[in-house]
Amino acid sequence: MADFPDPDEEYELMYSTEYEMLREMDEQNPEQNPVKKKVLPAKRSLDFSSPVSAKKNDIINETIKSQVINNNHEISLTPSLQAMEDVSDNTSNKRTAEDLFGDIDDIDFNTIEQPSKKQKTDEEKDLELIERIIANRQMRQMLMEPSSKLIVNKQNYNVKDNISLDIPSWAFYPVTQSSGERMYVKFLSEETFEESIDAVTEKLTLHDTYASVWEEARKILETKEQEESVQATQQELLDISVSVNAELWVDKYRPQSYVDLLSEEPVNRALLHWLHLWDKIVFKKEVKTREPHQRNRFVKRTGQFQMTNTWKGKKEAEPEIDEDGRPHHKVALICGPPGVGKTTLAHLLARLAGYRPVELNASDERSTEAFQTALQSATQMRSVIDAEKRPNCLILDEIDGAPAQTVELLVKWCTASSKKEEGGKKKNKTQLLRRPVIAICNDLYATSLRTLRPVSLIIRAGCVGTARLGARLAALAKAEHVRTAARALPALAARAAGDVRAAIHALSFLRARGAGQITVEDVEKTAIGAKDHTRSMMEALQAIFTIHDTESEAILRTIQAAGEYDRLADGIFENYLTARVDARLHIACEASSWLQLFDTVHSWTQRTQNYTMYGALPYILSRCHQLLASRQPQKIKFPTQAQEMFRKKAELDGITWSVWRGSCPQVACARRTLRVDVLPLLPYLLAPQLRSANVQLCSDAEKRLVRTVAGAMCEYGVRYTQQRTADGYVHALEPDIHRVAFLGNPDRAKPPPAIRQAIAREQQLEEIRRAEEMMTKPSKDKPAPKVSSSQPKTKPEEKTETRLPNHLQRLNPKALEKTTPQVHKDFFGRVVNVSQSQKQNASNDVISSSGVFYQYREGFNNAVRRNVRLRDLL
Amino acid sequence: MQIYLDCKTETEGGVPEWALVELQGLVQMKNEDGGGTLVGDLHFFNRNKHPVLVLGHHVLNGKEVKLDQPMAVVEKHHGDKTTYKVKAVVKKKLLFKSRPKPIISNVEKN
Repeated sequence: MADFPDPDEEYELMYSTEYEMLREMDEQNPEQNPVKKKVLPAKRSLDFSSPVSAKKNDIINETIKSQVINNNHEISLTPSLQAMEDVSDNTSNKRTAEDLFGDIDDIDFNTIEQPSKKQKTDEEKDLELIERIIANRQMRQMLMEPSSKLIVNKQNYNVKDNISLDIPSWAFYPVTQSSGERMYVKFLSEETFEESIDAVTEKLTLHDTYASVWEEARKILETKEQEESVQATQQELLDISVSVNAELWVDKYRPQSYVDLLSEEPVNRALLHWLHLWDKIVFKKEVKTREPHQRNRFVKRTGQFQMTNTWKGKKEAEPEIDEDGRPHHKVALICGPPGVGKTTLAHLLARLAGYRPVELNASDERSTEAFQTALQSATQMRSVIDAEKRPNCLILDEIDGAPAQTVELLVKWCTASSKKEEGGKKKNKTQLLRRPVIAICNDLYATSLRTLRPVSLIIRAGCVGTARLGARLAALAKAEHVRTAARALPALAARAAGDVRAAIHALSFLRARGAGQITVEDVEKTAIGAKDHTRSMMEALQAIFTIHDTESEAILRTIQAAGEYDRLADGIFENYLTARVDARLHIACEASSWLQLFDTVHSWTQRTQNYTMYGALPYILSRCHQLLASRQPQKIKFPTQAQEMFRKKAELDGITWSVWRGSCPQVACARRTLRVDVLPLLPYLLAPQLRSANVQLCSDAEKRLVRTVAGAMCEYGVRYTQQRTADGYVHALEPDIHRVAFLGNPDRAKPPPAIRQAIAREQQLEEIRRAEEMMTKPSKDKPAPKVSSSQPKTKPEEKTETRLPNHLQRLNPKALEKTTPQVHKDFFGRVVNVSQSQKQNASNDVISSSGVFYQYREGFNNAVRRNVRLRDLL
Repeated sequence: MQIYLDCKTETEGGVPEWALVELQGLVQMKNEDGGGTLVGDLHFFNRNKHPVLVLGHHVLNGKEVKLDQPMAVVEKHHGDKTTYKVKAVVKKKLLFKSRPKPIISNVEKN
């Protein structure tokens, strides 16, 4: 900043003459009040930094303005309005109203701010300077260009009315010339100033001027062209024969230097920066990188470059260069639509950075062995023929067509780091990748690139802008002496849709066809846009939801190019409610009815395998586009809902089925009732309110509650199992009826973990009890049929007896049933001697009835002491 | 003080060697009268040197342990001098220190 003068100094330099005048004035009029610094109150602020007008009237105004420093911040008006300001800024008033002009109260004065005392940072000073320079430049530019209309207005200034030599009757302002003469200038109010501006703007609405000027220009150009074409037709025949050259224009006019590149600046810079990161290991040069927290980032919100906040950036947390000295990303992956300049970019930048590019593209053998040899030769060996002794840089073109193993090999090789293993194998060192690898692809999300994407630096080369492409085509046409109509080349650029190669080819084709002059009709007739570009489904989906301004039929083609109509319909279904909304939901209704029609047709087609109606499907989808497209950019989600819902349904069905299968016969019910009635309420039943987790501490009622819960769980075949979660083991119901019971949050009505454990234990005990009961049941079953057979006989006898009324019935002790001694039968049904078993019983009885009882005592007995007295021994 | 220990043996073959059976617990009898009642069975498996004691409805497993200090079983003889006569020498013991296992007899149903 030392080189540039301060704004103050600069200002003073500009108005040095005026400053002198000011001093003179001060001498002459000492009683006048010191001028208060004021900003002109106009909202469209006047930029007083105009150095232009040489009028005397203006000079004085500007001397006072010199004290107004802050106005530098306010950008000037459009050039036209500035001119008006020159004319009419006699109205500026720098004196206090009360002093001189009591009656002019329609002029309001703002108090100006004192020039700020705070130190302006370098950046702000820069911005100031930039703005001032812009303003000055605009002024100068305006003056350079003759704008006849504006000049006319200047001359509307009526001298007689506004300047007088005597003290006039209207509000005035005294002005002293250098010769000492005094003049009095008319003083207009703010309102007249505004009116004059409005009058000007009415005449100068940009739209009118632009359209008319454009028309004029076009006419002039056309007439000129016609003249020239008449002359040139004779020369044409000679020219064409000369222009038969063997080189393709694409190659001839390939960018040879950095500034010729057509891709976006950030893209070029990113790749170049990444290439330079390799300098450390390839050229042994020190590389200046910035730590992640020092990196600057362009923040859109404030429109400035700011240092990144460390806590915000997640991707920026990784260092640019890792431990070996190689960049973090070993591979740069350039992706973009075809013909955009990716290969050119890679070659050019590699050469610029000092490498010799070695290309391996789709035409070369890309099997794993061949690839391996190519990789090794490119990165570890050096070419003998290369005169400049440059290191190699590998460029892998069309990598999305490479076989998957090749890509995996590349990934493995890139991620091999030089960590020393325990054995200290030397093999690791030779495998290190020491040269940059640039990969180029068209489709970033191809399946073969899935492993490569996380490892590589992704650079997206976008379509070339229409304006830039048009400019490049114009330059090309000029070099090749091709005459084109004025609008032909931009039209060609638009038709190519960002594809440079296609545009240049089309131009050369038109030239070769022998057209004298390339007109707009020629451009429109060329078959340039008819590429068989398979649009991906996501692109088509995005296109359905956005309005395409130029062509309305394009959407139909896009849909047909995408091909997967049912997935598109899924996508529309998932997004249509958020796309365009109206309050009465007419759009949603209509869209859903169209989708219904689509569904009907599609399912009929699938079912009957009759494809006659298949062609109607894209029309249905394009109708949806007409309904739902909007200009606002929307986030379109990939259709995953159908699959997710299907999966969830399958899961819940499985749970219901397992409950149904596992439940006891006593609680058996139809699956539907289970799902609708029982399961939603079951979790509440299985979550008892216990005061403590230890069952033995609970009251009797609670104990009974726990037993019922355990019983219910046994009956429904539900149990608690320990499942591993991130924190540890947790008890979860198996099968998990909470998920079936509750929509959304399955954690409702779950008992706390401690209680779950107690319930689990109770349930297991209950199970054992029931199992025991089941075991004892079969013994009762055998006599039961006998008893039941005897019952029907007794029943008719009993019927004759009269039944006693309830209050007279007495409890009779139940007679013990004498069971016949079990007769042991062997396999064939013969009676087996039971004597042996009886003997065994006898011996067992001896054991059990012995009188000896051993009481075990735990603990150690080494320390048992007994006192022995010597007198006992004697 | 002198305590006389008589090591002379009356029988031929020296002093017999006895073994000690050490139990960690109490042996209780239902009927209090002393006398020789069968307390239990002691089995000794020669191969593993594994003693097994069956007491009542318990079975104890033990092991044979060599005593650090061999002991002598002496009998007191009163006379003008109290002498002790060595009855036997104990060099090893059978130690049953594990928890006894119950023997569940399968009582047949009638």
